[in-house]
Amino acid sequence: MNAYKLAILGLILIISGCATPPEVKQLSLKQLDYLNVLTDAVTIQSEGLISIAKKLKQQSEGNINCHQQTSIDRLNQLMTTTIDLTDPKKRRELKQKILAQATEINKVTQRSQQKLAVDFKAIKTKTQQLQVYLKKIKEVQLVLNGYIQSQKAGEQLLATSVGHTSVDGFLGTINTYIPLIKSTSSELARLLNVKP
Amino acid sequence: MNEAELERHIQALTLLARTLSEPERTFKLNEVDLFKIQLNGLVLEDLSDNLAQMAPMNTNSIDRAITASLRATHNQAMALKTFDVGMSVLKTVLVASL
Repeated sequence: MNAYKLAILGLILIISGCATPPEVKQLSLKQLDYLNVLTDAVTIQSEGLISIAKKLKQQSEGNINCHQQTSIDRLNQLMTTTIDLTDPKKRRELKQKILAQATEINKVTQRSQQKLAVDFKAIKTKTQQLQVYLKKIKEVQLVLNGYIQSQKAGEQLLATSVGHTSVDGFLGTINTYIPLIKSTSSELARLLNVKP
Repeated sequence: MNEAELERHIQALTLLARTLSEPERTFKLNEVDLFKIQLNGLVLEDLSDNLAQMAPMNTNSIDRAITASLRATHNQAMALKTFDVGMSVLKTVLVASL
């Protein structure tokens, strides 16, 4: 007898636990809207960030090229003046110094351009990763929402099994049944074909 | 040293270099330009470093969690279907006994 009472009670608990409060369902739906707003905002912000980074990169690349050209022009000008030097040793030393600085200028220019490219790529990558991540968070919420909104979680079970669409209604019906089920355990066992 | 101070420092060095005679004038002016080239190369470094502080965003684990949830939901749906059948039998038996 106790076993069957427990079984009925367990059934009530399971089914009552399956029903999701409407407020939770509504919040779950709202969360999708919140995530849409957030995704749009992050997309706009990301595009703005990349646009600014691109402009800064272009501006800096222009500055670098300008400084490099100015420096090389100075060295070329200086090189023409070495002809005026009478001392061959001094002339040679000056030419070597000019070439050394020209090499350094080109090396530093190349390194700086590469640094700009690497930093810009890193900014773009991180920004795109954030957008992809947000999309995934939305997918998670869609799956959760699908389950939360699902009627199969509990209410359809009630409708199919006992013709009720709410837990309260079902509990009310069960309450009227329980006294009737308070027969001997052997009779119930016989009906259910289960040993007491 | 902030940006304004840096700019003033560069200008001061440039003015000083212009007071020198050749060839030192050329070499020193070029050193200032080399410094400016390096500064321009670092323009995006701060921004890049800031973004690098963001936690790694691994979407593979999220994909696995979504797949597991969908599978679990499907399994539960199957279990509920089976339960449905059992409940129908129980209901029939209870109604018949009453």
